[in-house]
Amino acid sequence: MVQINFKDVAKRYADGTDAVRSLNIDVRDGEFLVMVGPSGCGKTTALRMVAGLESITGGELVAGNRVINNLAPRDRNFAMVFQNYALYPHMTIFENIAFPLECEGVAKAEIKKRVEHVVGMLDLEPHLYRKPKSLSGGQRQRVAMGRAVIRRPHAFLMDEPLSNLDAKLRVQMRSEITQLQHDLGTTTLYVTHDQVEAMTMGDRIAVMNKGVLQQVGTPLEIYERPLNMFVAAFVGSPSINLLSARLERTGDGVICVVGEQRFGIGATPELEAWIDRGIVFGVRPEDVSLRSDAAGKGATLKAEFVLSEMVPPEQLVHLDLGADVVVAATEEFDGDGTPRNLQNGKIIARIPSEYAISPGTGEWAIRKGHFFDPANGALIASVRFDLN
Amino acid sequence: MSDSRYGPKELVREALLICVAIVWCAPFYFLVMVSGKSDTDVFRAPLAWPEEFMFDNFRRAWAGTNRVTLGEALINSAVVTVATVAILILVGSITAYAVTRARATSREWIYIFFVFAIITPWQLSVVPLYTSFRQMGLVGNQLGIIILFSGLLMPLAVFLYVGFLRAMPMEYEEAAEVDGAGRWRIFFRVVFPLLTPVTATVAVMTGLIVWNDFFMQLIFLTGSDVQTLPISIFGFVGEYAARWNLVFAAVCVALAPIIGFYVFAQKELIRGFSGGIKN
Repeated sequence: MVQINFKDVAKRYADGTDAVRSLNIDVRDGEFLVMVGPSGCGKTTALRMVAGLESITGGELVAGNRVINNLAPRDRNFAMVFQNYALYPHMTIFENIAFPLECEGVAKAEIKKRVEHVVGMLDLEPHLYRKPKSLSGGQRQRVAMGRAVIRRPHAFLMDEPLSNLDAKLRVQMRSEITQLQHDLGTTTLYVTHDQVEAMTMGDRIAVMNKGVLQQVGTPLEIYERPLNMFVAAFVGSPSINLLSARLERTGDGVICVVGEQRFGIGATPELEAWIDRGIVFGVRPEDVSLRSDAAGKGATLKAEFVLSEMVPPEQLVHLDLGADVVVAATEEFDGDGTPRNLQNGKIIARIPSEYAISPGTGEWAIRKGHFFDPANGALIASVRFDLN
Repeated sequence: MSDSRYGPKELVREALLICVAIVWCAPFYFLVMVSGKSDTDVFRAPLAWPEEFMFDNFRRAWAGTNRVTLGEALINSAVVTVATVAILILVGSITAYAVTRARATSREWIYIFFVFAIITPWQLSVVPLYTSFRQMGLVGNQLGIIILFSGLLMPLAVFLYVGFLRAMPMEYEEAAEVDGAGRWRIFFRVVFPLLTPVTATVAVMTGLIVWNDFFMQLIFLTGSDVQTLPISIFGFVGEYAARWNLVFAAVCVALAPIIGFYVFAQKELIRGFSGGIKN
């Protein structure tokens, strides 16, 4: 096993496009690190640079204290699982799994022994002498895993390996891969655009956007303390509610103004500098709850009930704040923090499905919120209101 | 009968296709008829049913011309064809692989060079080729004609392989690369087997050209003891008399292996033309 360090790694294509900009990540020995982001964010390019399939145009890629920028893929001893599995269609399952060993020149008897072991582990015995085209998607996925595992590589590189499976199988394979990685303890770099996959599988997650690393951290860190608006909006479903707000100082302390509504935010030193300036206030759907349900004083917003989507044991309640204050994660702001384009006043709350909500306008409590800098989207402070 | 799919339209279409098939078969009918006629019948009534089918014509044809039996000519043709096709497949596929996958920009020029070579008529180069081949001792032997055909048909083989390779996903090769395979192993264990459909196409197209070619073989092999079928058959056409019945009998013999091969390889052939990899 090995640790992989990206040191200012960059990829610029011949046409001048920057696919990856100055990437710095340390993948620890034995760690399962998931790179996640929307399509075109550079995550696959980064993975392919590790595999050696894409040249590196800047920085250093280090694996086990050795710079591998110019090492041929075959000399890196990494195993890769491709999105379409890339099983050799003319070879049987046995030959497919045995191929990496064949390349190493391992003796036939040893190959047979090791393939049988791997095949047993992955439940593929009945298909050993069939061709890939006669297998189902899930079985092909397992063969691809087998081909990766057999060589006992320094690291696994996985490029959206579950995206071609149906939803149910995806959930099953998700835990199988995690379990396998856990058992083998092999350093794993996993690329996906699916945040649920990222959250459930990774020891740590690296969120990328437009070739730039946004944040690296454990799933909980990323969720609880997103470093910027992009990460906050990308992680979590339904997405975080982002509202255009202003901070003002009154006799009672600092208050936050959203549209015509205002609530106190208590003493938060980081926010002192933002008084009388525009700011973005983010609140996750599960941090919005019925007023009676909230402990302590908290912050409240008046909102009109629009509709409720039942997803037992929860429901997603759509609320209207009565003023256009919602902004998109990609919103552009003027110098004073005023958004150029306000969308509407609709926010979403996630509450237990057994609660009945009466139509009309009601008071909703906010447990926790994040304040972001409109200029660069950076997190300023996360505030818990129910503790105030 | 409104639900029947066989209406008058289909009947007409079917009748038409049967007519076309008959027209297509007509040459084969004449080929067999004439091959069974006596020396005099051939000229008296060339298209008529023979009074007596002369199986002896096949024996006489088999004896061959220019001291080379038809059997030997058949073997010569087979050796030249098989060797040429083997070289074309091996060198053509590797060349095409390099042309498609090389990172150097010169690869486009190399490809254009091959395309130009396809549209240049062979006949233009006969005189210089003959002169230099004779100097090298490559006229009148199998090695010479194999080298000649390999060179003349290489552009076609490369063109066909490049077309197929360009549509082939890179993933298999990348997977093999990461799996630890070197260039040659990637080519022979992964890429070449995936080229099977187009290899069949190359084999059939070039094989037919070599097997049927008359002009080049006439110039480079006439009078030698390695003469091939077309030259052997041409031997029955003399300066003063042409024994058409023997020519046709020899053609029947020459056709047999090709028809046999086509029946055997029909499926692969069609797949090669329609292309694609199924995984």
